[in-house]
Amino acid sequence: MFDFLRAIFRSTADKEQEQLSAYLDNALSPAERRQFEQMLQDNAELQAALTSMRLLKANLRQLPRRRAPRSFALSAAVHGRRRPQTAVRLYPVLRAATVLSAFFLVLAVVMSLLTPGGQQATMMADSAVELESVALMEAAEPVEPRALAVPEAATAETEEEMVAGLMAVDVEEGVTVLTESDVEPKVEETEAAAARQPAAPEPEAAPVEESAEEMPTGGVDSAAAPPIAAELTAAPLILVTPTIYAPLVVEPTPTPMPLVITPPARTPWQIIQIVFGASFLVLLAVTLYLRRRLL
Amino acid sequence: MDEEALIAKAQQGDVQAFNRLVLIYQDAVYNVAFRVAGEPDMAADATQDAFISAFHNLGSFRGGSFKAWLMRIVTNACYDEFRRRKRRPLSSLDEISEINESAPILSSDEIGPEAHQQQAELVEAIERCLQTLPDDQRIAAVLCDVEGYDYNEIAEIMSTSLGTVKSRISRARSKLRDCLQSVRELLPWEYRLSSMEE
Repeated sequence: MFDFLRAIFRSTADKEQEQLSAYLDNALSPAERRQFEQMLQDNAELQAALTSMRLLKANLRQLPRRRAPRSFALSAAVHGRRRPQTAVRLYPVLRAATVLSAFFLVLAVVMSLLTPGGQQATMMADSAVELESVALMEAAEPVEPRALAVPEAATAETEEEMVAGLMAVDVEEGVTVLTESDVEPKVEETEAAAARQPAAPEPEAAPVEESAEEMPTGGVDSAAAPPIAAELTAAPLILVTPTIYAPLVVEPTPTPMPLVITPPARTPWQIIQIVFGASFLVLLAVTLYLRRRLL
Repeated sequence: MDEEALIAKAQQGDVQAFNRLVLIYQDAVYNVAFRVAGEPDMAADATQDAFISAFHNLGSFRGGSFKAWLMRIVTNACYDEFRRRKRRPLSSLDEISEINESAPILSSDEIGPEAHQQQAELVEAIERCLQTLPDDQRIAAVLCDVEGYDYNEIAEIMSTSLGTVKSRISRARSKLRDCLQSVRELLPWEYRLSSMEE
């Protein structure tokens, strides 16, 4: 590499010596050889140097050859299981690829945090996911107050208790509350039915829609409830069996929930992060496996 | 089986095929290591390291002269040994000479005891002088004058330029000549380098 520097700084004697050595080894170009031979003819000192150098070369060439003191053959037991060349070549490439994928993963995360659009999109996507999950959770919750109203109504022994139980039902939750006009005909019907059928059968579960139609609930508020309760209390005893009111109470109908979970919308940054993250994990696993195998 | 087939099989991990290559080249590799290192144990270590290294790096051999490739590995192994030995001082040259005298020699021509003695003295003087050279110049001189490689092959083996090789060989020869002239009294008349000048 620094031959030109050496050519600049070497002395004439060094140049002559190099030419002499190269001439001896027949390593000069034809032009250089002719030039050196002309110089040699006029220079006795150079001729003597050539002769001594030739003798030295002959002596070195005649150095005795030595036999190897032992066999240098390799043991198959020690060296038989060679490292596979493909794996050896692949290992540094995989290692570099793992480092690169880790770098790009970090870069993608940082960029998604720094980029306003990316951050906003990420937040929107997150909020969308949260809203969806909340909606799903609400839909899945059972309507407990309705379920609780049934046993109270069913176990009420007296009319007062039953009315009190009815009053306890929260109107806002859409539970049917009976008015005076609604109760009386119903009571009569119930008595007639009880007379016809002494043994009360199991209460038939009426659909919610039917109950809602038969028993109007609109127009009843908490302020109107006390007079009705008072009249009901003052009225003669009306035996109301729990089985009568059972159909009137809205039972929680298990509405079939669509269990279709839609995947949340992903931003490009998230997709890039997933891609780099997955590739990093795969590369890391392969690299560690190769490292364990090779070392 | 020819050399290329053996190399191909060895590249697939066939130790037996590689060992056949070892048997072909181990004398040549050991000779270079011995001339460069100047000491049998060090030469044997360098030779063994070179063959192990060659076997494990056969995948990087891309054709050409397998022998030159091996020589490159063994010279590198010698460099490694030099570095290792520099941390631990080597035994004296007298011990080396004593070992060399008992070392087996391949070219054991039928010569008389006096001529054998003279030749042994010359060999000893050359080996002493070789060890006085810097490592780079010694390797270049051994490869060129002892092993007979041309300049291009030496440049490939030593991973250097042709100009550097020329310079190293020239300097090595000059130093060797000066060294041998300084001990010419020890040499037989016919082996004195200055005898033809006088």
